[in-house]
Amino acid sequence: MWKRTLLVMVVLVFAFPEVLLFAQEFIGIGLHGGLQNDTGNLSNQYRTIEYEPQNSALVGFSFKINMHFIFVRTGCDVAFVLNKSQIEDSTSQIESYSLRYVDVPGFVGFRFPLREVGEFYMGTGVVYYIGDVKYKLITSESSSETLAFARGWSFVTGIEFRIIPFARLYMEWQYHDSRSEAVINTEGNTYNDHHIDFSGHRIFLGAMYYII
Amino acid sequence: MIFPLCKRKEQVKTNKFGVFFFGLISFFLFFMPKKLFSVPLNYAIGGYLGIAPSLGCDLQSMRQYYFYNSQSGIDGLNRTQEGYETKNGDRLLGLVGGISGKILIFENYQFRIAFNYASGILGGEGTTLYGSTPDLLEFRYSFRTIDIPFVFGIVIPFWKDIKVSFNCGTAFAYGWYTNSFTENGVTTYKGKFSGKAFPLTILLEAEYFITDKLAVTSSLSYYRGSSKLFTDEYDEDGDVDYARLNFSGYRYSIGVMYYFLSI
Amino acid sequence: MRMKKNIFFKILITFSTLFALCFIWHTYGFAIGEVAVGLNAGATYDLNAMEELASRYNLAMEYYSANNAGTETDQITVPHAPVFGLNVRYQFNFFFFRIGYHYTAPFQSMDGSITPAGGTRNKIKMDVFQASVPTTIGLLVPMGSRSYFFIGCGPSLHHTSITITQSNPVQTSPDFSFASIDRSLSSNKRDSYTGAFVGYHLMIGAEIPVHDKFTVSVEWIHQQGNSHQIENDGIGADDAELKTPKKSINVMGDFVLFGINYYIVF
Repeated sequence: MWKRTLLVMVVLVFAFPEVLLFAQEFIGIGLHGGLQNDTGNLSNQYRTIEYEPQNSALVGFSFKINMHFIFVRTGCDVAFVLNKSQIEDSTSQIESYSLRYVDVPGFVGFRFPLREVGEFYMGTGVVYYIGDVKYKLITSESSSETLAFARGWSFVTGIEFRIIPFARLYMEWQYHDSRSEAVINTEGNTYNDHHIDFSGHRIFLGAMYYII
Repeated sequence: MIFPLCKRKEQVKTNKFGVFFFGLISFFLFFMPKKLFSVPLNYAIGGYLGIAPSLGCDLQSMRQYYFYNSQSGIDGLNRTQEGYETKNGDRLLGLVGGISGKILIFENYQFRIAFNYASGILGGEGTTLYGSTPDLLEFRYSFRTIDIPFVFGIVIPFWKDIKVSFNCGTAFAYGWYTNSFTENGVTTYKGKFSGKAFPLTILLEAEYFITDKLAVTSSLSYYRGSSKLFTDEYDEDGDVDYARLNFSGYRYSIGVMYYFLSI
Repeated sequence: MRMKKNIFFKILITFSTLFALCFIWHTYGFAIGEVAVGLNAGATYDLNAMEELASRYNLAMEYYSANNAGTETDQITVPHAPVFGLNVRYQFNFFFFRIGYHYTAPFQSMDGSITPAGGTRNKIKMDVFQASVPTTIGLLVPMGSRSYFFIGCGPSLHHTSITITQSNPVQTSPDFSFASIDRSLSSNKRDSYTGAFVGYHLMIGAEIPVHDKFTVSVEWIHQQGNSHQIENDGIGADDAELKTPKKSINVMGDFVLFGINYYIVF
């Protein structure tokens, strides 16, 4: 399913050659920063957990191709920890938790050009994640670290404003839905029971320069 | 453990707010004063297809919570250990299809009703571990839903090219959820649940007009709501489970919309 | 906590500077700022994320009922809740700054009950309310005269409360208590938590004019936030006052709001 989705996206890029000639601001490169609350989504796994959620700052770039009313976009985002999760009770067996990750999204969707103002866009896509988790269990004397990999789905919607010719400011909301397999043993059993949850909402603000 | 198939008195609590909202909009729509028909109206119908990740959300049930120690349904069931052939079970990815109809008043207000069908097409099965030994547990889920969202919103046209609308309302949603757990390849417990709810519905829709009556649409919708706990309808395994049907989640759809009058 | 505040203010200053720099580009000749005041009403579901807790109580009731014939149960249902609010907004070119106030509490009660066979009915009731002050910074797309599509985010100050009461939480004949079925559930007669804290929100919406100075708007606010650990203003099953367990309140939820706005022309 993932390979088919990527194939569809690649086909879309090359399927409308005659339309490309009509599109101004065809290929853009953007830089953006963003914020995410409750990174790691611990309350989804431990419904009774009492904790202060982790907040993350994201920095990334995007590469966008516009084709009439369709766009395809990819890029890379890196999430940095602003504050770690502090767990205030012992039910989850975790004392502290922080998640940094890199994600590579691939969006496809519709764009709605607003003539000289800019555009409104909305799309969906697949995302790949590489996460680095640092955690300390109540039963451990020191912290541990582990990597996690996942893929998932995401949605994006946002607006772009033309500031100067070929440069736009954009603000967008993304929602990601993805979880890794279990990679941490928290309950003292023989198996790993804790997965890394990359799901959540992100808000981004950035600038895009259209090279063509 | 075998549970007695006890019958209990079921008291159905109606979601008064949802029924009130549904009724009010229906009343307004179908019993509008005659003079309102003199205002500019336009009508449109359309169809669309889309995806719904996490269909059914975490698919939690009583058996998973009390017997397999999962606080988060399918997410909490996933466990791994070297030497065991486990397979991660992802949440259900749903395919959504639907038809919609809307009435536009003064070009800027719209009532929209739709009929959607969503069914899980990927995910929802895996192999995990449970217990202190541990033992292997195979699980499988399915979730289907039909829903009739009824929303009201405002439409912002941009020249003759684009319309962007933002709509809110509620939906009548009816779902069917099944689960199956096979312990050590020997004993299988199955559950089958069905029921309704009235989730809150938000719809962001944008239309790009390729002619003056035909538009390509892109929409992002969000449902928020779940049903009460329903009793397992599958009796043959001698086990009774309880689960709610969770209709919360996002959907992205693309489609076409035909306007009966030129924009 | 101090470090978190510093980081938050650094981010706020950075974003504010970025927005301020963008004010330099007067590409489009809109008015030099507009102020609007608005009234909102709408709805939300699952206020204060109580559905998860209600679901655990319901599961416990059904688990007990499945193991004890003759038990009668009435599940706790989570209703929609109306939202009322007002806001003041300043907008300039493509940017807006808004501060608002929302109050919400469900009309319908969130209650259920369990009557063990031969026992006394234990009625469980959950009362919640939430008052919030969202402060939003965002971008708006002008699509006509006072027709906008907007997106924004910002912090929200919440004042919220959860109170859970049980009429007969612990019974000896027959033996029943929620805590014995599920350790995460309470067997107190009352657990009450009230607190104020800061969360975050995202906002998307649209607005169109109905008159020279009036517009109508539709918006969706998604909010998230966890409070600090709040002390319990509780009463135990033995009628003794309790200060534990401490609990944090989660305000994750979605609001849909319809509004009328009035533009003040200077």
